[in-house]
Amino acid sequence: MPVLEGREFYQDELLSVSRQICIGAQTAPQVTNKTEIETAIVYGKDELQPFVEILEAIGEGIWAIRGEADNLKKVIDQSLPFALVLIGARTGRSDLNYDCSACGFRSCAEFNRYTKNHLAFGGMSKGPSCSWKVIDWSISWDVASAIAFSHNLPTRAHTSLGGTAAVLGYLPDCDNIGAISLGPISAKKGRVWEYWYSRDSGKDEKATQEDFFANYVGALPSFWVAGPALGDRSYVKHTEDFQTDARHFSHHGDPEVQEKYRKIQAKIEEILRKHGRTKAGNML
Amino acid sequence: MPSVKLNDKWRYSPSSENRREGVVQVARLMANAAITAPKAGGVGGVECEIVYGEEEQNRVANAMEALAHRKRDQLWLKRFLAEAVMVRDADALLFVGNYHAYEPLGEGCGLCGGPERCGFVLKRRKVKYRSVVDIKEEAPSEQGKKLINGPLCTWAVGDTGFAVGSALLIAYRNFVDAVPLFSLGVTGVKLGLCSESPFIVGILVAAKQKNPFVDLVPDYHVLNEMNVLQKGMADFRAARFSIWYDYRNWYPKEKK
Repeated sequence: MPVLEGREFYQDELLSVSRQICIGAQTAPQVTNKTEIETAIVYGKDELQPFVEILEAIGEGIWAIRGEADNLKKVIDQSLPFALVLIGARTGRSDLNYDCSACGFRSCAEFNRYTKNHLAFGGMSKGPSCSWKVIDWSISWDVASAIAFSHNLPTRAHTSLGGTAAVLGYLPDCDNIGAISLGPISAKKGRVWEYWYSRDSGKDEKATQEDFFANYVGALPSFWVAGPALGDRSYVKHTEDFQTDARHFSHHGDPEVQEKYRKIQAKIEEILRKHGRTKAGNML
Repeated sequence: MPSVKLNDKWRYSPSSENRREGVVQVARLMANAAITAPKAGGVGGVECEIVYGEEEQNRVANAMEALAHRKRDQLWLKRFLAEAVMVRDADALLFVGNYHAYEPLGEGCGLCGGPERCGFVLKRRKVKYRSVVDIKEEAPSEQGKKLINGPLCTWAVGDTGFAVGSALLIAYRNFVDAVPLFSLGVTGVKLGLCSESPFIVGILVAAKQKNPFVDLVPDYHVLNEMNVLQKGMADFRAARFSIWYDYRNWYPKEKK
Protein backbone atom coordinates (compact mmCIF):
# COMPACT_ATOMS: atom_id res chain seq x y z
CA MET A 1 0.00 0.00 0.00
CA PRO A 2 1.52 3.36 -0.93
CA VAL A 3 2.19 5.66 1.99
CA LEU A 4 2.90 9.37 1.81
CA GLU A 5 5.03 10.48 4.74
CA GLY A 6 3.97 13.98 5.81
CA ARG A 7 7.50 15.29 6.12
CA GLU A 8 8.21 14.43 2.51
CA PHE A 9 5.57 16.73 1.06
CA TYR A 10 5.31 19.58 3.62
CA GLN A 11 7.69 21.81 1.66
CA ASP A 12 5.90 21.16 -1.65
CA GLU A 13 2.56 21.83 -0.05
CA LEU A 14 3.82 25.08 1.50
CA LEU A 15 4.95 26.19 -1.95
CA SER A 16 1.60 25.26 -3.41
CA VAL A 17 -0.19 27.40 -0.79
CA SER A 18 2.40 30.16 -1.37
CA ARG A 19 1.38 30.23 -5.01
CA GLN A 20 -2.27 30.57 -4.01
CA ILE A 21 -1.28 33.38 -1.67
CA CYS A 22 0.54 35.20 -4.47
CA ILE A 23 -2.52 34.94 -6.69
CA GLY A 24 -4.73 36.09 -3.81
CA ALA A 25 -2.47 39.09 -3.19
CA GLN A 26 -2.27 39.91 -6.88
CA THR A 27 -6.04 39.82 -7.32
CA ALA A 28 -6.98 41.40 -3.99
CA PRO A 29 -9.53 44.22 -4.12
CA GLN A 30 -8.16 47.74 -4.44
CA VAL A 31 -9.38 51.23 -3.71
CA THR A 32 -7.57 52.80 -6.66
CA ASN A 33 -7.45 49.90 -9.14
CA LYS A 34 -4.13 51.41 -10.21
CA THR A 35 -1.62 49.88 -7.80
CA GLU A 36 0.62 47.28 -9.34
CA ILE A 37 1.25 44.53 -6.84
CA GLU A 38 4.20 42.23 -7.35
CA THR A 39 4.82 38.95 -5.59
CA ALA A 40 7.62 36.45 -5.15
CA ILE A 41 8.32 33.31 -3.14
CA VAL A 42 11.68 32.86 -1.44
CA TYR A 43 12.73 29.52 0.04
CA GLY A 44 15.73 27.29 0.47
CA LYS A 45 18.87 27.62 2.53
CA ASP A 46 20.91 29.61 0.03
CA GLU A 47 18.25 32.24 -0.54
CA LEU A 48 17.40 32.63 3.15
CA GLN A 49 20.97 32.80 4.44
CA PRO A 50 21.50 36.52 3.55
CA PHE A 51 18.23 37.32 5.38
CA VAL A 52 19.54 35.70 8.56
CA GLU A 53 22.86 37.51 8.34
CA ILE A 54 21.28 40.94 7.84
CA LEU A 55 18.70 40.37 10.56
CA GLU A 56 21.41 39.20 12.96
CA ALA A 57 23.39 42.35 12.21
CA ILE A 58 20.37 44.58 12.86
CA GLY A 59 19.49 42.44 15.87
CA GLU A 60 22.68 43.57 17.53
CA GLY A 61 21.08 47.00 17.82
CA ILE A 62 17.37 46.26 17.89
CA TRP A 63 16.19 43.55 20.24
CA ALA A 64 12.91 42.86 18.41
CA ILE A 65 14.79 41.82 15.27
CA ARG A 66 16.87 39.27 17.16
CA GLY A 67 13.84 36.98 17.41
CA GLU A 68 13.33 37.03 13.65
CA ALA A 69 17.00 36.20 13.05
CA ASP A 70 17.04 33.37 15.62
CA ASN A 71 13.88 31.78 14.26
CA LEU A 72 14.96 31.98 10.64
CA LYS A 73 18.36 30.55 11.56
CA LYS A 74 16.60 27.60 13.19
CA VAL A 75 14.61 27.07 10.01
CA ILE A 76 17.82 26.83 8.00
CA ASP A 77 19.83 24.79 10.52
CA GLN A 78 17.09 22.21 10.99
CA SER A 79 16.00 22.26 7.30
CA LEU A 80 12.40 22.87 8.33
CA PRO A 81 9.69 23.28 5.68
CA PHE A 82 9.40 27.03 5.16
CA ALA A 83 8.56 29.63 2.52
CA LEU A 84 8.60 33.41 2.50
CA VAL A 85 6.04 35.24 0.38
CA LEU A 86 6.94 38.78 -0.68
CA ILE A 87 4.29 41.30 -1.62
CA GLY A 88 5.53 44.58 -3.00
CA ALA A 89 4.17 47.77 -4.49
CA ARG A 90 5.46 51.03 -5.87
CA THR A 91 4.24 53.33 -3.12
CA GLY A 92 6.59 56.25 -3.70
CA ARG A 93 4.90 57.54 -6.83
CA SER A 94 1.32 58.61 -7.42
CA ASP A 95 -0.45 58.42 -10.76
CA LEU A 96 -3.80 59.09 -9.09
CA ASN A 97 -4.20 62.86 -9.27
CA TYR A 98 -6.51 62.79 -6.20
CA ASP A 99 -4.65 65.73 -4.62
CA CYS A 100 -6.04 64.58 -1.26
CA SER A 101 -3.03 65.72 0.85
CA ALA A 102 -3.01 62.62 3.06
CA CYS A 103 0.74 62.38 2.36
CA GLY A 104 1.21 65.95 3.54
CA PHE A 105 1.80 67.53 0.12
CA ARG A 106 -0.75 69.80 -1.53
CA SER A 107 -0.99 67.77 -4.72
CA CYS A 108 0.10 64.50 -6.26
CA ALA A 109 2.43 66.45 -8.58
CA GLU A 110 4.14 68.09 -5.59
CA PHE A 111 4.45 64.67 -3.93
CA ASN A 112 6.00 63.17 -7.05
CA ARG A 113 8.44 66.07 -7.40
CA TYR A 114 9.59 65.50 -3.80
CA THR A 115 9.84 61.70 -3.92
CA LYS A 116 11.82 61.81 -7.17
CA ASN A 117 14.85 62.95 -5.18
CA HIS A 118 13.99 62.03 -1.61
CA LEU A 119 12.55 58.50 -1.68
CA ALA A 120 14.69 56.47 0.72
CA PHE A 121 14.69 54.04 3.61
CA GLY A 122 13.90 55.39 7.02
CA GLY A 123 13.86 52.22 9.08
CA MET A 124 12.56 49.10 7.39
CA SER A 125 10.38 51.02 4.93
CA LYS A 126 10.87 53.61 2.22
CA GLY A 127 9.10 56.92 2.13
CA PRO A 128 7.41 59.26 1.47
CA SER A 129 4.49 57.12 0.33
CA CYS A 130 1.14 57.72 -1.31
CA SER A 131 -1.47 56.79 1.30
CA TRP A 132 -3.84 55.23 -1.23
CA LYS A 133 -1.08 53.10 -2.74
CA VAL A 134 -0.23 52.02 0.81
CA ILE A 135 -3.90 51.14 1.40
CA ASP A 136 -3.94 48.90 -1.70
CA TRP A 137 -0.61 47.33 -0.77
CA SER A 138 -1.86 46.68 2.78
CA ILE A 139 -5.10 45.13 1.51
CA SER A 140 -3.04 42.73 -0.61
CA TRP A 141 -0.78 41.94 2.31
CA ASP A 142 -3.80 41.35 4.57
CA VAL A 143 -5.63 39.15 2.04
CA ALA A 144 -2.43 37.12 1.61
CA SER A 145 -2.14 36.64 5.37
CA ALA A 146 -5.78 35.60 5.55
CA ILE A 147 -5.22 32.92 2.91
CA ALA A 148 -2.29 31.51 4.92
CA PHE A 149 -4.43 31.61 8.07
CA SER A 150 -7.30 29.83 6.31
CA HIS A 151 -4.91 26.98 5.54
CA ASN A 152 -4.06 26.68 9.25
CA LEU A 153 -0.41 27.41 8.53
CA PRO A 154 1.97 29.02 11.01
CA THR A 155 2.33 32.52 9.62
CA ARG A 156 3.13 36.10 10.45
CA ALA A 157 3.34 39.37 8.55
CA HIS A 158 6.90 40.71 8.88
CA THR A 159 8.03 44.24 8.12
CA SER A 160 11.58 43.19 8.99
CA LEU A 161 11.77 40.39 6.42
CA GLY A 162 10.06 42.58 3.82
CA GLY A 163 12.49 45.45 4.41
CA THR A 164 15.42 43.03 4.25
CA ALA A 165 14.09 41.63 0.97
CA ALA A 166 13.98 45.17 -0.42
CA VAL A 167 17.58 45.79 0.64
CA LEU A 168 18.62 42.49 -0.94
CA GLY A 169 17.15 43.67 -4.22
CA TYR A 170 14.08 41.45 -4.54
CA LEU A 171 11.16 42.91 -6.54
CA PRO A 172 13.30 45.82 -7.77
CA ASP A 173 10.36 47.79 -9.17
CA CYS A 174 8.71 47.99 -5.76
CA ASP A 175 9.45 50.68 -3.20
CA ASN A 176 8.13 48.70 -0.26
CA ILE A 177 7.86 44.98 0.30
CA GLY A 178 5.80 43.15 2.87
CA ALA A 179 6.69 39.60 3.82
CA ILE A 180 4.61 36.69 5.07
CA SER A 181 6.28 33.67 6.57
CA LEU A 182 4.71 30.29 5.84
CA GLY A 183 5.77 27.66 8.28
CA PRO A 184 8.07 26.41 9.55
CA ILE A 185 6.37 23.11 10.18
CA SER A 186 8.04 21.28 12.98
CA ALA A 187 7.06 18.41 15.19
CA LYS A 188 7.74 20.38 18.35
CA LYS A 189 5.81 23.54 17.65
CA GLY A 190 2.79 22.69 15.61
CA ARG A 191 0.32 25.39 16.42
CA VAL A 192 -0.10 28.50 14.36
CA TRP A 193 0.82 31.10 16.95
CA GLU A 194 3.77 29.66 18.72
CA TYR A 195 6.65 29.88 16.30
CA TRP A 196 6.58 33.54 15.32
CA TYR A 197 4.71 34.95 18.30
CA SER A 198 5.62 33.79 21.78
CA ARG A 199 9.14 33.15 20.60
CA ASP A 200 11.90 31.17 22.21
CA SER A 201 14.55 33.73 21.35
CA GLY A 202 15.60 35.30 24.60
CA LYS A 203 15.75 31.95 26.30
CA ASP A 204 19.21 30.72 27.23
CA GLU A 205 19.85 33.85 29.27
CA LYS A 206 19.84 36.12 26.25
CA ALA A 207 17.22 38.28 27.91
CA THR A 208 17.53 39.00 31.57
CA GLN A 209 14.87 40.46 33.83
CA GLU A 210 16.91 43.66 33.76
CA ASP A 211 16.52 43.80 29.96
CA PHE A 212 12.75 43.64 30.27
CA PHE A 213 12.75 46.28 33.00
CA ALA A 214 15.07 48.57 31.05
CA ASN A 215 12.86 48.21 27.98
CA TYR A 216 9.75 49.36 29.84
CA VAL A 217 11.29 52.20 31.78
CA GLY A 218 13.05 53.29 28.60
CA ALA A 219 9.68 53.78 26.95
CA LEU A 220 7.72 54.87 30.01
CA PRO A 221 10.35 56.43 32.29
CA SER A 222 8.07 57.34 35.17
CA PHE A 223 6.08 54.12 35.26
CA TRP A 224 6.43 52.15 38.45
CA VAL A 225 9.38 54.18 39.63
CA ALA A 226 8.10 57.72 40.22
CA GLY A 227 5.06 59.33 41.80
CA PRO A 228 3.74 62.89 41.93
CA ALA A 229 4.71 64.84 45.01
CA LEU A 230 2.65 67.64 46.56
CA GLY A 231 3.79 70.82 44.82
CA ASP A 232 7.32 69.60 44.47
CA ARG A 233 9.20 67.59 41.85
CA SER A 234 7.99 64.05 41.46
CA TYR A 235 9.61 61.72 43.88
CA VAL A 236 11.43 58.62 42.80
CA LYS A 237 10.22 55.39 44.31
CA HIS A 238 13.26 53.63 43.00
CA THR A 239 16.86 54.52 43.82
CA GLU A 240 18.20 58.04 44.32
CA ASP A 241 20.22 58.02 41.12
CA PHE A 242 17.40 56.70 38.95
CA GLN A 243 16.99 59.80 36.79
CA THR A 244 20.68 60.09 36.05
CA ASP A 245 21.25 56.41 35.48
CA ALA A 246 22.52 56.11 31.92
CA ARG A 247 20.92 52.71 31.51
CA HIS A 248 17.47 54.23 31.45
CA PHE A 249 17.88 57.48 29.55
CA SER A 250 19.67 58.26 26.32
CA HIS A 251 19.04 60.40 23.27
CA HIS A 252 19.51 59.98 19.53
CA GLY A 253 22.68 62.02 19.49
CA ASP A 254 24.47 59.44 21.61
CA PRO A 255 27.76 58.89 19.75
CA GLU A 256 28.08 55.40 21.20
CA VAL A 257 24.75 54.35 19.67
CA GLN A 258 25.54 56.09 16.39
CA GLU A 259 28.83 54.25 16.21
CA LYS A 260 27.10 50.94 16.89
CA TYR A 261 24.57 51.60 14.12
CA ARG A 262 27.33 52.68 11.75
CA LYS A 263 29.09 49.37 12.35
CA ILE A 264 25.87 47.44 11.77
CA GLN A 265 25.31 49.29 8.49
CA ALA A 266 28.88 48.51 7.41
CA LYS A 267 28.27 44.88 8.29
CA ILE A 268 25.07 44.82 6.21
CA GLU A 269 26.96 46.23 3.24
CA GLU A 270 29.65 43.61 3.70
CA ILE A 271 27.00 40.85 3.73
CA LEU A 272 25.44 42.28 0.58
CA ARG A 273 28.82 42.33 -1.18
CA LYS A 274 29.51 38.76 -0.05
CA HIS A 275 26.27 37.58 -1.63
CA GLY A 276 26.86 39.57 -4.77
CA ARG A 277 24.00 42.02 -4.17
CA THR A 278 24.85 45.44 -5.38
CA LYS A 279 21.62 47.25 -4.57
CA ALA A 280 22.42 48.30 -1.03
CA GLY A 281 20.16 50.57 0.98
CA ASN A 282 20.67 52.29 4.28
CA MET A 283 18.29 50.65 6.74
CA LEU A 284 19.51 52.18 9.96
CA MET B 1 -47.55 30.97 10.84
CA PRO B 2 -44.70 33.47 11.04
CA SER B 3 -43.40 34.48 7.65
CA VAL B 4 -40.51 36.76 6.73
CA LYS B 5 -40.55 37.97 3.17
CA LEU B 6 -37.31 39.10 1.57
CA ASN B 7 -36.76 40.68 -1.83
CA ASP B 8 -35.04 43.62 -3.45
CA LYS B 9 -38.07 44.98 -5.33
CA TRP B 10 -38.35 48.43 -3.77
CA ARG B 11 -35.59 50.15 -1.95
CA TYR B 12 -37.28 50.71 1.36
CA SER B 13 -40.23 48.31 1.29
CA PRO B 14 -40.65 46.07 4.36
CA SER B 15 -39.49 43.00 2.43
CA SER B 16 -36.41 44.87 1.19
CA GLU B 17 -35.72 46.07 4.71
CA ASN B 18 -35.83 42.43 5.88
CA ARG B 19 -33.12 41.68 3.34
CA ARG B 20 -31.12 44.73 4.36
CA GLU B 21 -31.12 43.49 7.95
CA GLY B 22 -28.81 40.64 6.88
CA VAL B 23 -26.49 43.07 5.11
CA VAL B 24 -26.23 45.24 8.21
CA GLN B 25 -25.39 42.12 10.23
CA VAL B 26 -22.59 41.35 7.76
CA ALA B 27 -21.42 44.98 7.97
CA ARG B 28 -21.16 44.53 11.75
CA LEU B 29 -19.08 41.38 11.27
CA MET B 30 -16.95 43.29 8.75
CA ALA B 31 -16.36 45.97 11.38
CA ASN B 32 -15.30 43.30 13.87
CA ALA B 33 -12.90 41.84 11.30
CA ALA B 34 -11.52 45.33 10.61
CA ILE B 35 -10.84 45.84 14.30
CA THR B 36 -9.12 42.46 14.76
CA ALA B 37 -7.00 42.81 11.58
CA PRO B 38 -3.21 42.91 12.09
CA LYS B 39 -1.76 46.19 13.36
CA ALA B 40 1.75 47.56 13.10
CA GLY B 41 3.35 47.19 16.51
CA GLY B 42 0.03 45.91 17.83
CA VAL B 43 -0.95 49.54 18.48
CA GLY B 44 -3.96 49.98 16.21
CA GLY B 45 -6.50 52.79 16.21
CA VAL B 46 -9.07 51.47 13.80
CA GLU B 47 -12.64 52.61 14.34
CA CYS B 48 -15.72 51.84 12.26
CA GLU B 49 -19.08 53.44 11.62
CA ILE B 50 -22.02 51.86 9.81
CA VAL B 51 -24.50 54.14 8.07
CA TYR B 52 -27.75 52.94 6.51
CA GLY B 53 -31.26 54.18 5.83
CA GLU B 54 -32.85 56.42 3.22
CA GLU B 55 -32.15 59.79 4.80
CA GLU B 56 -28.66 58.86 6.02
CA GLN B 57 -27.50 57.44 2.69
CA ASN B 58 -28.94 60.42 0.79
CA ARG B 59 -27.03 62.79 3.05
CA VAL B 60 -23.76 61.00 2.30
CA ALA B 61 -24.54 60.89 -1.45
CA ASN B 62 -25.31 64.62 -1.50
CA ALA B 63 -22.03 65.42 0.23
CA MET B 64 -20.19 63.26 -2.29
CA GLU B 65 -21.87 65.11 -5.16
CA ALA B 66 -20.71 68.39 -3.64
CA LEU B 67 -17.11 67.07 -3.65
CA ALA B 68 -17.51 66.07 -7.30
CA HIS B 69 -17.18 69.73 -8.27
CA ARG B 70 -14.06 70.29 -6.22
CA LYS B 71 -11.74 69.70 -9.16
CA ARG B 72 -11.93 70.69 -12.80
CA ASP B 73 -11.41 67.16 -13.93
CA GLN B 74 -13.90 65.23 -16.03
CA LEU B 75 -12.85 61.83 -14.65
CA TRP B 76 -13.07 63.07 -11.05
CA LEU B 77 -16.51 64.62 -11.65
CA LYS B 78 -18.03 61.57 -13.34
CA ARG B 79 -16.47 59.19 -10.84
CA PHE B 80 -17.82 61.01 -7.80
CA LEU B 81 -21.26 61.42 -9.40
CA ALA B 82 -21.39 57.72 -10.31
CA GLU B 83 -20.26 56.63 -6.88
CA ALA B 84 -22.90 58.85 -5.28
CA VAL B 85 -25.47 56.77 -7.18
CA MET B 86 -23.87 53.63 -5.72
CA VAL B 87 -24.15 55.12 -2.23
CA ARG B 88 -27.92 55.41 -2.76
CA ASP B 89 -28.07 51.89 -4.25
CA ALA B 90 -26.10 50.31 -1.40
CA ASP B 91 -27.74 48.55 1.53
CA ALA B 92 -25.23 49.83 4.06
CA LEU B 93 -22.09 51.96 4.20
CA LEU B 94 -19.16 50.93 6.36
CA PHE B 95 -16.57 53.56 7.22
CA VAL B 96 -13.19 52.34 8.44
CA GLY B 97 -11.09 55.08 10.01
CA ASN B 98 -7.95 55.31 12.10
CA TYR B 99 -7.92 57.64 15.11
CA HIS B 100 -4.21 57.07 15.62
CA ALA B 101 -3.21 58.43 12.21
CA TYR B 102 -2.18 61.93 13.41
CA GLU B 103 0.27 60.48 15.88
CA PRO B 104 3.47 58.88 14.50
CA LEU B 105 3.89 55.28 15.59
CA GLY B 106 7.31 56.22 16.91
CA GLU B 107 9.17 53.27 15.46
CA GLY B 108 10.90 55.33 12.78
CA CYS B 109 9.89 52.95 10.01
CA GLY B 110 10.35 55.54 7.26
CA LEU B 111 7.15 54.84 5.35
CA CYS B 112 5.87 58.44 5.61
CA GLY B 113 9.06 60.28 4.86
CA GLY B 114 12.08 58.02 4.49
CA PRO B 115 15.25 59.07 6.31
CA GLU B 116 13.45 61.83 8.21
CA ARG B 117 11.53 59.04 9.95
CA CYS B 118 8.76 60.17 12.34
CA GLY B 119 10.28 63.64 12.14
CA PHE B 120 8.72 63.97 8.68
CA VAL B 121 5.25 64.16 10.24
CA LEU B 122 6.32 65.95 13.42
CA LYS B 123 8.12 68.73 11.49
CA ARG B 124 5.03 69.45 9.45
CA ARG B 125 2.58 69.56 12.33
CA LYS B 126 2.00 71.56 15.46
CA VAL B 127 3.90 69.58 18.06
CA LYS B 128 3.98 69.91 21.84
CA TYR B 129 6.41 68.42 24.29
CA ARG B 130 8.65 67.36 21.38
CA SER B 131 6.46 64.53 20.09
CA VAL B 132 2.77 65.10 20.88
CA VAL B 133 0.81 66.29 17.83
CA ASP B 134 -1.63 69.02 18.89
CA ILE B 135 -4.26 68.92 16.20
CA LYS B 136 -6.63 71.29 18.01
CA GLU B 137 -4.26 74.25 17.79
CA GLU B 138 -3.56 73.96 14.07
CA ALA B 139 -5.20 76.63 11.93
CA PRO B 140 -8.59 75.30 10.78
CA SER B 141 -8.39 77.28 7.52
CA GLU B 142 -5.42 75.21 6.48
CA GLN B 143 -7.30 71.97 7.23
CA GLY B 144 -10.29 73.13 5.21
CA LYS B 145 -8.20 73.41 2.03
CA LYS B 146 -7.20 69.77 2.11
CA LEU B 147 -9.38 66.72 1.53
CA ILE B 148 -7.36 64.85 4.14
CA ASN B 149 -5.41 66.68 6.80
CA GLY B 150 -1.99 65.11 6.18
CA PRO B 151 0.79 64.29 6.68
CA LEU B 152 -0.22 61.27 8.71
CA CYS B 153 1.51 58.26 10.16
CA THR B 154 1.62 56.10 7.04
CA TRP B 155 1.86 52.94 9.11
CA ALA B 156 -1.48 53.88 10.66
CA VAL B 157 -2.75 54.35 7.10
CA GLY B 158 -1.37 50.89 6.30
CA ASP B 159 -3.18 49.48 9.32
CA THR B 160 -6.38 50.90 7.87
CA GLY B 161 -5.58 48.95 4.69
CA PHE B 162 -5.23 45.73 6.68
CA ALA B 163 -8.59 46.49 8.32
CA VAL B 164 -10.25 47.13 4.96
CA GLY B 165 -8.79 43.91 3.52
CA SER B 166 -10.18 41.82 6.37
CA ALA B 167 -13.57 43.56 6.20
CA LEU B 168 -13.81 42.87 2.46
CA LEU B 169 -12.93 39.19 2.96
CA ILE B 170 -15.78 38.83 5.47
CA ALA B 171 -18.16 40.41 2.96
CA TYR B 172 -17.03 38.13 0.12
CA ARG B 173 -17.20 35.02 2.30
CA ASN B 174 -20.79 35.89 3.14
CA PHE B 175 -21.54 36.37 -0.57
CA VAL B 176 -22.35 40.02 -0.03
CA ASP B 177 -21.08 42.56 -2.56
CA ALA B 178 -18.65 45.13 -1.19
CA VAL B 179 -16.41 47.76 -2.73
CA PRO B 180 -13.90 50.09 -1.04
CA LEU B 181 -13.97 53.67 -2.29
CA PHE B 182 -11.66 56.67 -2.07
CA SER B 183 -14.57 59.06 -2.69
CA LEU B 184 -16.62 57.58 0.16
CA GLY B 185 -13.61 57.86 2.46
CA VAL B 186 -13.05 61.57 1.83
CA THR B 187 -16.81 62.20 2.04
CA GLY B 188 -16.75 60.47 5.43
CA VAL B 189 -13.95 62.79 6.53
CA LYS B 190 -15.94 65.85 5.38
CA LEU B 191 -19.06 64.65 7.21
CA GLY B 192 -17.13 63.87 10.39
CA LEU B 193 -17.95 60.17 10.35
CA CYS B 194 -15.56 58.02 12.41
CA SER B 195 -15.30 61.35 14.16
CA GLU B 196 -11.81 60.95 15.59
CA SER B 197 -10.20 59.74 12.37
CA PRO B 198 -8.39 61.99 9.86
CA PHE B 199 -8.19 59.14 7.37
CA ILE B 200 -11.14 56.97 6.31
CA VAL B 201 -11.84 54.34 3.68
CA GLY B 202 -15.52 53.89 2.87
CA ILE B 203 -16.95 50.52 1.88
CA LEU B 204 -20.28 50.08 0.14
CA VAL B 205 -22.11 46.88 1.02
CA ALA B 206 -25.11 45.39 -0.74
CA ALA B 207 -26.88 42.08 -1.31
CA LYS B 208 -28.96 42.55 -4.43
CA GLN B 209 -29.68 40.33 -7.40
CA LYS B 210 -27.49 42.58 -9.50
CA ASN B 211 -24.28 43.85 -7.92
CA PRO B 212 -24.93 47.62 -7.95
CA PHE B 213 -21.21 48.51 -7.91
CA VAL B 214 -20.10 47.08 -11.26
CA ASP B 215 -21.01 47.27 -14.96
CA LEU B 216 -21.50 51.01 -15.11
CA VAL B 217 -22.52 53.01 -18.15
CA PRO B 218 -21.33 56.55 -18.97
CA ASP B 219 -23.30 59.29 -17.23
CA TYR B 220 -24.30 56.78 -14.57
CA HIS B 221 -25.73 59.58 -12.46
CA VAL B 222 -28.37 59.97 -15.20
CA LEU B 223 -28.57 56.42 -16.57
CA ASN B 224 -29.06 54.38 -13.43
CA GLU B 225 -31.81 51.97 -12.32
CA MET B 226 -33.65 54.47 -10.15
CA ASN B 227 -33.63 57.22 -12.78
CA VAL B 228 -34.66 54.82 -15.54
CA LEU B 229 -37.48 53.59 -13.32
CA GLN B 230 -38.66 57.12 -12.55
CA LYS B 231 -38.35 58.24 -16.15
CA GLY B 232 -40.18 55.12 -17.37
CA MET B 233 -42.93 55.75 -14.87
CA ALA B 234 -43.26 59.36 -16.01
CA ASP B 235 -43.37 58.34 -19.68
CA PHE B 236 -45.98 55.67 -18.98
CA ARG B 237 -48.11 58.18 -17.10
CA ALA B 238 -47.81 60.70 -19.91
CA ALA B 239 -48.79 57.99 -22.43
CA ARG B 240 -51.95 57.19 -20.42
CA PHE B 241 -53.20 60.67 -21.07
CA SER B 242 -52.98 60.40 -24.84
CA ILE B 243 -55.51 57.57 -25.27
CA TRP B 244 -57.80 55.94 -22.75
CA TYR B 245 -61.24 54.30 -22.39
CA ASP B 246 -64.17 53.97 -19.99
CA TYR B 247 -63.30 50.59 -18.45
CA ARG B 248 -66.74 50.27 -16.79
CA ASN B 249 -68.77 50.29 -20.01
CA TRP B 250 -66.62 48.97 -22.87
CA TYR B 251 -63.33 47.25 -23.74
CA PRO B 252 -61.26 48.04 -26.87
CA LYS B 253 -61.88 45.48 -29.65
CA GLU B 254 -59.18 43.38 -31.26
CA LYS B 255 -58.25 44.56 -34.75
CA LYS B 256 -59.24 41.99 -37.43
